Amino acid sequence: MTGTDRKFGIAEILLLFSVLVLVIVVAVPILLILWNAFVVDGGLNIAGAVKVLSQPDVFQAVVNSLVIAGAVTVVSTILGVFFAWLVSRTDLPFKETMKLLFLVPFMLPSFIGAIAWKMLLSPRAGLVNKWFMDLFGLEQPLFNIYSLWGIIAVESMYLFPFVFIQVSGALERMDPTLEESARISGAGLFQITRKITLPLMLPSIAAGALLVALYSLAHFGVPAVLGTEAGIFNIPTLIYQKIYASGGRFEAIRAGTILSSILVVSAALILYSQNLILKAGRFQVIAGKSVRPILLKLRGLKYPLLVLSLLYIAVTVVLPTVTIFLVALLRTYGLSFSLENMTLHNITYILFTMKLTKDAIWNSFYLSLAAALVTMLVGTLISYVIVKMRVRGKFFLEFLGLLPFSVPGTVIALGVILMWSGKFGVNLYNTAWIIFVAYIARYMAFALKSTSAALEQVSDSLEEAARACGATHWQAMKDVVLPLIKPGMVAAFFLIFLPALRELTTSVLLYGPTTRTIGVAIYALNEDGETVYAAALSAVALIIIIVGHWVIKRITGTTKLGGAS
Amino acid sequence: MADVRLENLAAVFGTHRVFEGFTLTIRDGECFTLLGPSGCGKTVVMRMIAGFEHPSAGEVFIGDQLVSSAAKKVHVPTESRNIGVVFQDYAVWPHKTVFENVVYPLQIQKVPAAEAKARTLEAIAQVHLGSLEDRYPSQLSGGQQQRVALARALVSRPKIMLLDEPLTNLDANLREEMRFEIKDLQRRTGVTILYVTHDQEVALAISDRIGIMGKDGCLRQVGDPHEIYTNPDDGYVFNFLGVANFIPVERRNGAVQIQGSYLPLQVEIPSAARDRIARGEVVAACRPFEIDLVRDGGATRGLVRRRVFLGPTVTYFITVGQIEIRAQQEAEEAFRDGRALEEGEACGLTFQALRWYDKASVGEEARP
Repeated sequence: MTGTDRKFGIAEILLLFSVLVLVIVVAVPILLILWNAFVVDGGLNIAGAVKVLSQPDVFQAVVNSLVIAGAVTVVSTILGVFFAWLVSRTDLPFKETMKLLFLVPFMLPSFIGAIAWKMLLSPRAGLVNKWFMDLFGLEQPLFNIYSLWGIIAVESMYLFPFVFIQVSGALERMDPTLEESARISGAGLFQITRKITLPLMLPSIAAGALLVALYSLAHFGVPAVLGTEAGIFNIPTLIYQKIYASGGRFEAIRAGTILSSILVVSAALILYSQNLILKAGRFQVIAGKSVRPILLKLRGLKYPLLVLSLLYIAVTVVLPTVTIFLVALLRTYGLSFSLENMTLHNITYILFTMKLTKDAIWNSFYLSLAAALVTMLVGTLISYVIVKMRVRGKFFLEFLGLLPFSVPGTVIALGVILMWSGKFGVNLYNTAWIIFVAYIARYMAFALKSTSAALEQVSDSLEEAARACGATHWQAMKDVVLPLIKPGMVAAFFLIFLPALRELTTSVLLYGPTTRTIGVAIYALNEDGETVYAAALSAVALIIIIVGHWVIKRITGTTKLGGAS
Repeated sequence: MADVRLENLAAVFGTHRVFEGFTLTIRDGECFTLLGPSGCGKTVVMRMIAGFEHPSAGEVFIGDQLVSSAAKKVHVPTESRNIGVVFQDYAVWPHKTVFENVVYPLQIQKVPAAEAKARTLEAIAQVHLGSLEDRYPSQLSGGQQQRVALARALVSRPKIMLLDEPLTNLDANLREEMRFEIKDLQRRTGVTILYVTHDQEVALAISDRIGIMGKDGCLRQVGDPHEIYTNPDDGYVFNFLGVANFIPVERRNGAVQIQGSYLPLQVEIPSAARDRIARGEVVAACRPFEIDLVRDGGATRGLVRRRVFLGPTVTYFITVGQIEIRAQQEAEEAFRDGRALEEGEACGLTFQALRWYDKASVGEEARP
């Protein structure tokens, strides 16, 4: 703070390194997108951008993205708030179990969910539709999943936990005396909920809703699986479609950059308003110590509501998962699920014979492993500089550190294409490296969040005490800081490794002939009508994800030290 | 062992000047306390000696070695200063046992294992934690954690120990016990101690010398505890060291009176004070126990507004003219002799001694 002895010490080197990483990996790709979108032949060209936007298909994609995101946000918010209230403010039986169950949709990759729903509800071949039509002898399917409503329904199923987590967390932290004093003043429970609880929860609800909006707006998987068939495109799927249909022509890239700019700007706006809301709400939610909220007695509704919740889980989680596993075992798609039609051949075939899937599994594994390791380590370093170091010019790093949070996967993919396809001397196109670089940019936000939270828990005096004991800066870091933030680093690793393993949005724009990932392979197999293989690979991915989450639980459960202050 | 010299130190954070021209020598082997209200910059002084902060100007010497100098661009890093630091929040490492915490400085110095072990166990015994060396900090009480921090600071036999409010987070009994132990350790080891606190009781109890800092970061007075307590240089120091009455006075018809009333003060007034009273520059000051209370008589009459029984003493809030004065009696005697006063009763006050301080020095909010 008060001037430094050396002009260029360890602090400056670390700062410079952190800034460089974020500039190269995140900032320049975003700038390139904006540059390509609005600058033509060295001059600003807004009119050209408007012209591209007014093309009917582009315009329609923007509208679709907004409609889908809007509807998904509303539905997810209603679902999330209702279930959060149910598990934290009523006497619903088995509440703790239900709370965990409601988080399961989070683990399920939504595009695998979409593939399952396609198997169940596609207009002609969908199992549920067929069963329904046979049963009632109807010509019309029960529900056509290849529609805007289909996309909205499936996305909402897998995104509502964003709201659920925020709101149930806030409900648990809320000072119960706020409600109790209202009750003492003579308010009934309904009145308390409407006048006290709900207004207090609004910031958390809004924060969760905005997360859903941010995610849905830039979501690729579900619209790609369910929309393309019916000609419904949103921004990410149209970017993908244009770039692949054109084989990488500049016009397509340009349209992509303009669409991406819309995503970047909306993401920035959403994150900005979320910050405002959370800041404004801070004073309200602060907890009292003994949280013993008033529980609404559900009386006669107790078991019907439990059944409803279980039914919801069964339909949104169990049914699609079981469908995936059953189809994975079928000899041929379309056969009935009887034992003589079942075989393990699909699984062994994709694991040991089929080159496409074997490569994909291997690619996803080492790419996720490398990206998780590097991102976690670099993220720890950047967080350390931001949280712990006092060095001039830090504000610039703090600003850069916000960028990864606001960049959707599609945008990152396009950005790294612009940056790493030879224009700047390095050509990584069609190699695994370009996916690696993109994963670092995509998951840096997770690493920063998790490690900076861990570092903020480590009080400065712990490190200073080591210095006073004679330890150098590096020794103090190695002996005191690193051991204390290890759980945060392990968590960051898995927070990156698991999502990266099933990543689709970014890799689908970046894969080359030999660099398909698990997500890309499932998507391609599904598109090519190789449904049983798509299901088999999905089943394998689901097993890996479930095991991974179990491992996280074990590790983060045991590495937590008794008294980390 | 070594002394510590601070010469013209300044701390400027952006546009905020915490202190400037701060000069002080802490003598070899003494226990020196920097006493001041929170936010006065006393911790910054300590952190500059430790090397955690860089002075904006001025120099720090430990013994003969220049360790910090803004002008000469010298900054010896903390780890090379051979100091021990004890923090307010203990800063005991939660992932290390008591033994591992205390042995750490010796490991860094690459002291041979057998010797390190012996010295560590000795340091642990010194702070009365023997047999707890395998515990983790989360299994210890606050006082025990504080002792671990002390042992860790002592084990490498530093030249200087810096203690930043080390007792603030402990309860009253422990605080008293620990302050004897710190004093005792210092006598046994002869280490130079800089103790930073806002608690005047601790300061008076353990220090060889005390330096009192003002809100503005200036050093107001330096001296041994007795001298400082009995002869404060100004109203601020007087107020900081205990409950104080400040009585505005004026001179009328040749007599000194309490301002706004016609009540005279019957005390010897030093001739030097007389002119300044006439010019309205000074106030009179006294402690509550320096006032004798009588039911009848007494030159200055007042009215008991409130009586507070505090066990060994009774405190009265007495209105004299328009001001309120706190006075005190020994409870036991007063009740036995029937001298104790009731609320609403009129009484006479006699001032045993009055000090005369600049109005300006009293105006500051001195209590921490």
